Amino acid sequence: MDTDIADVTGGGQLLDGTERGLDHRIRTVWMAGWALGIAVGFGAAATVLAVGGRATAAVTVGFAALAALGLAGLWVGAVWRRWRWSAWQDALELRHGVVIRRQSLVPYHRIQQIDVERGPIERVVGISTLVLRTAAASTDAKLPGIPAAHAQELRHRLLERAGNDDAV
Amino acid sequence: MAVPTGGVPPTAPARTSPLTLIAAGIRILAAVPLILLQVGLGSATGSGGGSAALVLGLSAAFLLGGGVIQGLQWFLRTWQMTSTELVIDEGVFTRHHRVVPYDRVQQVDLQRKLIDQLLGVATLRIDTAGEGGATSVTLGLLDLAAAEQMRAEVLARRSAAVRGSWTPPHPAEATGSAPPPQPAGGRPLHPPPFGPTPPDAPQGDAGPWHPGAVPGGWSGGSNIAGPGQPPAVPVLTLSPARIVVAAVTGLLPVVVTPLLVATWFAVLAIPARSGGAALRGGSLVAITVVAVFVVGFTALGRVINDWGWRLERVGDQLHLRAGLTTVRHLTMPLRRVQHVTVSDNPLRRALGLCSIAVSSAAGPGASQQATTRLVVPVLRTSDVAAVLAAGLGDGWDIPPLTPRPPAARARAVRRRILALAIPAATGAAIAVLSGASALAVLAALVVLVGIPWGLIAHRRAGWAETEHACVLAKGVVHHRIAIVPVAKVQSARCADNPFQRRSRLRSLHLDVAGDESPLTSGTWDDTVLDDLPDDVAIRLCRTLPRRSGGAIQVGPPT
Repeated sequence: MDTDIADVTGGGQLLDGTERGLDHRIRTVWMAGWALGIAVGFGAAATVLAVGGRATAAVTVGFAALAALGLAGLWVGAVWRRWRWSAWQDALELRHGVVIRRQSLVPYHRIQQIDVERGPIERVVGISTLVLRTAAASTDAKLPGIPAAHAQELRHRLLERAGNDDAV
Repeated sequence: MAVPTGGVPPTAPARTSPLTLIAAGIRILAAVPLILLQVGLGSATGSGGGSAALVLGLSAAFLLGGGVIQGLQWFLRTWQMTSTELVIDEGVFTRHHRVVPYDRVQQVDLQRKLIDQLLGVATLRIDTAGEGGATSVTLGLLDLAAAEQMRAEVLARRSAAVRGSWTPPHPAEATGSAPPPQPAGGRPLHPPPFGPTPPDAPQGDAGPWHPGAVPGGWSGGSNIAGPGQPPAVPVLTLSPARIVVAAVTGLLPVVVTPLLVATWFAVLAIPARSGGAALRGGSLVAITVVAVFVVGFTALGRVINDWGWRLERVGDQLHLRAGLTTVRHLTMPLRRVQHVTVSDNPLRRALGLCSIAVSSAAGPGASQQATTRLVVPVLRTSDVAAVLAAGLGDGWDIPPLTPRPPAARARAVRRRILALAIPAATGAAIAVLSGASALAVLAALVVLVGIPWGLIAHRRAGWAETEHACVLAKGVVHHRIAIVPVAKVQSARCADNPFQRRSRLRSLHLDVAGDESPLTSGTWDDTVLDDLPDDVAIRLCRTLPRRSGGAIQVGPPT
């Protein structure tokens, strides 16, 4: 049934170890988070300055906010380009990070549960995040940017490979 | 997991010991002296008899209400052991129905505080692991005999849930008169060193697989096995003298004492100008008080905590008994052991001593570290292999370690010089502002400590990979060698920053069950090693988790 998740797999087999990137819509989600943070931080500063009668400084803060937004856009693009994941027959492999590059491997037989998370922005753009949980709290296994229509199918496919004991 | 449903008779619902009410009453009555003191102070300050009567009345109502609620809680709390699970019903206003499947039980501990010992009762604590985290249930207070019987029952039924059958406890075994079980059908006495116990391997067939105790006067102990359990084989017993040695050579005294001594001499260097003598005298008194409290009380606490320390192996479980005021009976199934850390500090290294921490998958909470880690407070370094073999079986030996590459040595020195640069610069700046140029130079020279520190750190770090385990070593003051069974690796990560990429180095993180937080568990960091060769880190990251499970068990989604 790989054709059901062809958008995720790019038309190939899911568990062939092919290196895949994230759905481009995840950039919108990440960018929205940055925009919200910048708006709150710089907006508060600009408001205080404007109320205090320092209009020039407030405008400067506004331009700084635009510059920060541009930098955030560059950062989000870099993060998105670095994100790669591969589903093998026995494990899921994730690679991501710009400054600190991380690589993690989670064997399916260690999976305790898989959560499908969808934040408000993710719901708007139609993507989901798969969170693989093992018995180790430190496991890094969050796979963002999965099209919502295929998240459940992907979750089901990975859970089929999970062990049937308590994996401890 | 399929759990057997036949052959295990359920017990009748039961309450905890009525002595629970007496213990609760003692705790409530402990508030009476405070109340009387309050009333006395009120009378002494002339607040009037009215307020004293009010305080007494409110206190009496509080005590009465507390007593009634405690009584109701005891009456409404029942427990029952069914064929597959332990069921606890409790709660006065909000009723709770708690179900603990035996196959999820990680550890079963008996705890006896001082008041429990006086009353002849104990608290039973059962740690479990489930999806999304671990939890625990406590049953207190139970009659001591009932608590020990229940612990044995839970462990027997947990074993039955794992292997699919159950044998009722034999009365003769409870008295220790039963002959030790013999291996049948040519089955090896040694359990597999790592990984889950095979379903067809009875939990109690390990037998006297280790012929004797660890040499060197560290052994002893007695049979603490409960009914239905195989006989206990002593692994290690610590005499009071050894416990004192463990207390005074611990990491805290070793780190704090030199700092206090250095501070002492720094204070002595204060010039005896106007007020200087008084400042010096006061500071010396303060340092002495701190030394007594920090070092003395820490050592005393360790002695009280570890008094009567005795480790035994009962079948496929480790049993620990320790404590003076609060006696702990910790039971750790071997199949739940996630990793072992052998650690020492400079003083212990000089004395040829070290300690061992055995971490299990149970992680009921940050404050319960003592129940998730079984710590051997001190032992001879030369006895480590024998103790690990006696307690955990084969495959836990520490192989020769491979050092990290030369690029890692340079980074180790650079990192420590940078770490010292900020405090050294701050100290030098303060000294310059104070006009003490000699002290400023001395503070700046502290940076140079980073060179030997980094070199020693590099020399003490290393890694090894065996058929069964991955071994990671690091640390200077607190040197740790973590033995992580391949079968217990949940997942693996590696990471590199730009400086590491330039030197083709990476950090390796092995994730094991039960690691909750580096701040609370203290174990997270043990399974991490920085600055491994790039290709080695990637290879270990990609292969170790895959080797942990063998064949994939394909089944329906849960």
